[in-house]
Amino acid sequence: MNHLDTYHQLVNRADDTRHRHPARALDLALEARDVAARLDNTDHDTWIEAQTIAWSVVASAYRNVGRLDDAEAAMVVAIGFHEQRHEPCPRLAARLMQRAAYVRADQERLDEALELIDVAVSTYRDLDAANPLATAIIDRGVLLGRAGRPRHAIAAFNEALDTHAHALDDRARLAAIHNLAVHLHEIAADTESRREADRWLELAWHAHAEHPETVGLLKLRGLCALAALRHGDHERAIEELWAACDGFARLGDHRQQTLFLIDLAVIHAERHDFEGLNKVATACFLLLRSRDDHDDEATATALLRLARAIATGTPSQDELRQAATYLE
Amino acid sequence: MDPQNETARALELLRQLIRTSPYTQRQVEERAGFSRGYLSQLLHANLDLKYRHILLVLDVLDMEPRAFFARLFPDPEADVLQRFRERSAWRSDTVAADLETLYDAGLESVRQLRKRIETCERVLDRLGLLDDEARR
Repeated sequence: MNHLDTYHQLVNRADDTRHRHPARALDLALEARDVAARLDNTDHDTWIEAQTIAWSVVASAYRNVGRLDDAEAAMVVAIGFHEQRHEPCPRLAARLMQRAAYVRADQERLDEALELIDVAVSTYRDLDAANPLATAIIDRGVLLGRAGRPRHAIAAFNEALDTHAHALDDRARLAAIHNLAVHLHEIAADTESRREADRWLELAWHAHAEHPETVGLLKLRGLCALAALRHGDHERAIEELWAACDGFARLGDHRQQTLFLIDLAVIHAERHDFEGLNKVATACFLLLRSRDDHDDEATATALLRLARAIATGTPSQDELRQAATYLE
Repeated sequence: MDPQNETARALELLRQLIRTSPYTQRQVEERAGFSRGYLSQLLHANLDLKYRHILLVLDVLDMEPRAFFARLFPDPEADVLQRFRERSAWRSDTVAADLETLYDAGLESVRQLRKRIETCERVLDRLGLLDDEARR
C-alpha cells in the first residue's frame, strides 16, 4: 500500500470512529496528518488538499475529545492550507465550513456556527451536490437545535427526510430521525403532539437498533426514560436510565454517566426509594474512585455533590439541581 | 445591477427561506399580518416588493435582516472561513509544535528537490539540451 492509500484509509477510519472511540480516532487522525505531510508534493493542489483534509479531520478529532483550543488551531491550519490552493475548490471549502461550524458550536459560539453551516448549505445547493447537501441540512438542524430553535431544527430535519431522502446514507438518516424525535419531544405541549413525538422516538429506536451501541443510542435511552415518565411508567424510566448509565460507563463518557445518575437520583428521591438511592450513591463512589485524569473538574464536582447529598439521607430536589448545574 | 433581476433574486431567497422554515406560506402570511393571498402575490411578483415586506417576513422567520442581505449579496472578500481564522485566538502550543516538526521537514525536502532540479538543469545546460523557454 502506498502512502496516499494509507493516508486515505487513516482519514476515513479516524472519521468513522470519532463518535464511538474519540481517543482512538484522535490517534488515527494525527497519524493521517503525519502521513499527509510526507506525501509527494510535486502536484501542489493535491498535496495542499491532503494537508487541508488531514488537519480538518484532526480538528474534528480534537473537538470530539473536548480539546477545543487545539481543535480551533487545527482548523485554522486547515483553512490556511486551503487558501494556498491555486484552483479554488468550493466543495472542499463547504466541508471545512461544516467541521468549523461544529467547533464553533462546541465553543458555544452558535451564531458563528450557524453562519458557517448556512454558507455550506448554500454552496452545496449551488453545486447540486445531493449527498453532502442532505448531510449539511441535517447539521444545520442539529446546530439550530443547539441554538435553542427547535422548530427551525425540526423544519431542517423534515426537509432532509422529505426532499433529500434519496441522498441520505444510513448514519445521516439515523441522525435526522433521532434529532427530530428529540426536538418533537422538546416542544410537545399536548397529547397529540406527544403521541407524534413518541412515534418518531419509536422509529429512531428501531433505526438505532440496527447499529452498534453509540452515544446517540444511549442518549435516546434517556429520552425513552423521559417519555416513560410522562406516561407514569417509573420502572421503565429507571430501567432505561440505568442502561444508558452503564452504556456511558463502557464508553468512558463520565460526564453523560453523571448526568444520568443525577436523573436517577431525582426519580428515586421523589419515590423515597432508599435502595435505589443507595445504588446511585455506590455508582457515584465507584466512578469517583476510577476517575481518569482527563475528566473535567465540573464532572468531579457534580459527582461529589451528588454523592454527598445522597449520603446525608434523602436528597432534596434543590440539592440535586445544584449538582446538575455543574454539568449544564 | 438590474433592479428587476435583483428583486427576483430577493423573492427567490424569500421563497426558499419560507420553504425551509417551520411555517407554511399561509402561516407566514398570517404572522406577518398580511391579508389572505397577499404573500403569494408578492412572491410571484404580482405586487411590488417593499423593504417593509421583507422585514415583516424576516421577523416571522426569526432571521436578522443583516443575515438575509449577506445571503443575497455575499461579500467575496468576507469569506466565512477567513472570518473563522480571524476570529480565532491561537491558544494551542501542541498544534504550533506539531506544525514546526512536520513542515520544517517538509520545507527541507522541497529545498532538496529544488537543488536536484537545479543540478539537472546545469547538466542539461552543459550538454546544450536546455532550450530558451526552459532557461527562463
